[in-house]
Amino acid sequence: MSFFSQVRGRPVYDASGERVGTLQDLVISSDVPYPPVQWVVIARGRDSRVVPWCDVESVTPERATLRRTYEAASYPHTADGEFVWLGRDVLDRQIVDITGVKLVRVNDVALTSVNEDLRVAGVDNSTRGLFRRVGMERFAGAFGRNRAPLIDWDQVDISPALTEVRLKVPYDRLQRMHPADIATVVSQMSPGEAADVLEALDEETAAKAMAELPDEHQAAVLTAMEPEEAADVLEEMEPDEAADVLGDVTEERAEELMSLMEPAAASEVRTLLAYAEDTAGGLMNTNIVALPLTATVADAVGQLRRDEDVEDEVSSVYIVDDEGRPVGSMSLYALLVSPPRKTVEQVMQRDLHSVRIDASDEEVARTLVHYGLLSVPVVDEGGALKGVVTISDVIDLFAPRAWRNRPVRMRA
Amino acid sequence: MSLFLAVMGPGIITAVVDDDATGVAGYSLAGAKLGYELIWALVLSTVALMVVQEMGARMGAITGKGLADLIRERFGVRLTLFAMVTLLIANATTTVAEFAGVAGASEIFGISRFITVPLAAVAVFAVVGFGSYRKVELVLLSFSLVFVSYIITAFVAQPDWAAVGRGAVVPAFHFNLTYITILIGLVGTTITPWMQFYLQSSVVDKGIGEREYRWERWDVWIGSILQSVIALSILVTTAATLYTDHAPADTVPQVAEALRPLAGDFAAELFAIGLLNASLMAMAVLPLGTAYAICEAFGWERSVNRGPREAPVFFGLFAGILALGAVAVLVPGVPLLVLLFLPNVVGGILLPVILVLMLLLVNDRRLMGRWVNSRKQNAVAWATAWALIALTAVYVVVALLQLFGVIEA
Repeated sequence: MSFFSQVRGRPVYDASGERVGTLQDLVISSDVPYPPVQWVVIARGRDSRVVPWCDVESVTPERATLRRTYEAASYPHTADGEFVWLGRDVLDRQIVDITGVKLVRVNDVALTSVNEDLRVAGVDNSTRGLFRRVGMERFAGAFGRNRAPLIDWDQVDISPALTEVRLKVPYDRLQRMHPADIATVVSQMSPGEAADVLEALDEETAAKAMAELPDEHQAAVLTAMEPEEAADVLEEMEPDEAADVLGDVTEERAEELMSLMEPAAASEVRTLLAYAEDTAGGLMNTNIVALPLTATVADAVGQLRRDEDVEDEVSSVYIVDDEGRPVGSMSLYALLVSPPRKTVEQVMQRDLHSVRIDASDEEVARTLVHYGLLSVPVVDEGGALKGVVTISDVIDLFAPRAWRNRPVRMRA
Repeated sequence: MSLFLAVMGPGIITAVVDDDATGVAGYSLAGAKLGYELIWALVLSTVALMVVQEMGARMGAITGKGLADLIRERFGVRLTLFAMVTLLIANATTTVAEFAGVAGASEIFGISRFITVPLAAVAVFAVVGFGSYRKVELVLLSFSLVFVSYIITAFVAQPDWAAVGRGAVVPAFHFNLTYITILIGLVGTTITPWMQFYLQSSVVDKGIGEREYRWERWDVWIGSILQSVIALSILVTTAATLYTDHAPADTVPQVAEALRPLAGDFAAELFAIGLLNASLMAMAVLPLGTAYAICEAFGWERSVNRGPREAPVFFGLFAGILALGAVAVLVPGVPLLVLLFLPNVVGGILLPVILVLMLLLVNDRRLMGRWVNSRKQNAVAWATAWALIALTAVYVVVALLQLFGVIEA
């Protein structure tokens, strides 16, 4: 095992034993597990050329040796986005540690010889790696842990480091993380970097991750995103969450984004934006299932099945009278066990607690806790059903500050 | 216009914080010791400030990354270490100066610095470290309206406007240590290393990108001009009073007294409040910003939310710089005005290091694409760096000549 910093800058000799230059960089292709080095970049004076790995005899911390003459083995390199240069693109940059759920700075890259190949084994983000880079590794023991474990190459996503090289980077591994974990990682990035990540993810994942970001960060990230991409992500978000985010950006920006959204989704968000953020109106979700008294249990289940916009956190359906006022509710459990042919009026729970649309978030939270509800309907001045607040919408009021995602960045 | 209001902030805040305790000391001394002679340098510094700050804001908007981040990614560990040691020295001495500002202000009020300085240190540690920085920023910014009083005072002082005009266009230069020290200090307090890191990060953290950039430029330019108007007012006021009367200006209360005949009995108190506010504002920015930049560059845990156990280097730096500042000004007999002025010279000498790195970054096409510096911008920024390097060299030579008695002090 050796480190990239130990082989970089070493002299390169060709088959005839002549010194032809110094090792400038190692080139890998990023989409293979533990990628082998495919090209070696050799600097000669101000010029640099690449040699394919098959023409390289060995690369050690002392020297690199070629199998043929430099002239016969080397090619001019083209600026091309398919390959990753370890020194240029990975070293010193920030990448995602998937298991550690954080951004880490690459202090060094570990290489290991497997058969004929030189493969990338992992990333060194230890302070020891820093000492090695300034040529003082032997003093590293005096400062903290002596040997920090390497981060396995299989457990990192280097995509954030590659944004300069390529327009679109895959974020393969990041994409598979839980949205809440993606949010944790993304909140350690600057808004611009975070915007790049969210734009590259599929919209559904991006929407979930965006919803999990801390409020202060959301607005900055949304500002930094391309308007079309931002609008797509907003469409995927729950309307109340989308309204939350839009409430924090400037009015022009919010208008611009809403004009790019699907009209239906935009108008829903627009309605919610009219309510203050810390009231029932600002918290509620408008995607609800409301049924007339005459509907059957089967109708209710059918409507749930058809309506793809209904939030998966919804735990009840509501029964409304002719004026749209809620008169009863049924939990999903009740729907499941009730005979399908009965009308909802026969089986509904009549003891209903609701909150006014202008009720404060605290009042909403207290109602939920006091009556032990998972969700509470929200009604307007006339008593008509407007939306529903679920317990997860107000959980921030209860959770200790430390549990929540707090912004990790601040001004330097 | 409303787009401008949306992005406004980073440039103006940085500029206002730039008129910190070291700024008040630097401009006061320039006026008190040399009268209107150095106004030309202030004018040139303002142009340089506008160009340099615009460069930083542009880098932030185009790359979406802070300066510490870019230095590490482009130049590797060794140069980063060099840049960060530079930043640490400049910022630590500046923090000491801010505490000197607190001590000076409390002297004017007649309160012992042994009470106010520890109080300020603990307050900043608690509020900035564990409270909401943004709220603190707002309070301090609104206090900074006190600075407007400087502008009014400058007019009340009835300066010789013809001499002001002459000083602005006719460069005077003398080969003596006082003159060169004050000149380096003047440039060094106007354009500082910390500002480059702070402004760029502020732009990045606001999510300002290519689209908003043309508005952000105005934020930076307006801020720079505002900063210089305040600086000029301070300089002109002390020039019209202390310099004209040949009054001594060797302690903070002496400088404050200069204002008494002008704005009545409360002038000195007003000066003290301005100084205190300027000091606190910079104290809220410097130790935390330094800790953040260094940890960002080296990839160490950096967050006030993580606690000292998880982020030892971050907390060590933050608390260490604050403690150093507080302890340094409590050393018996330490001359406050020297502490207040020292970082200007240190900053002026170290600034070229940061400037050269910035210039290499901003002219990197791979990084900046079509947003690299124009020829004019490069000319001004390189000229600034070279002028400071030349001044530093002259400073060293003159200091040596003086030391060996070749020329008179």
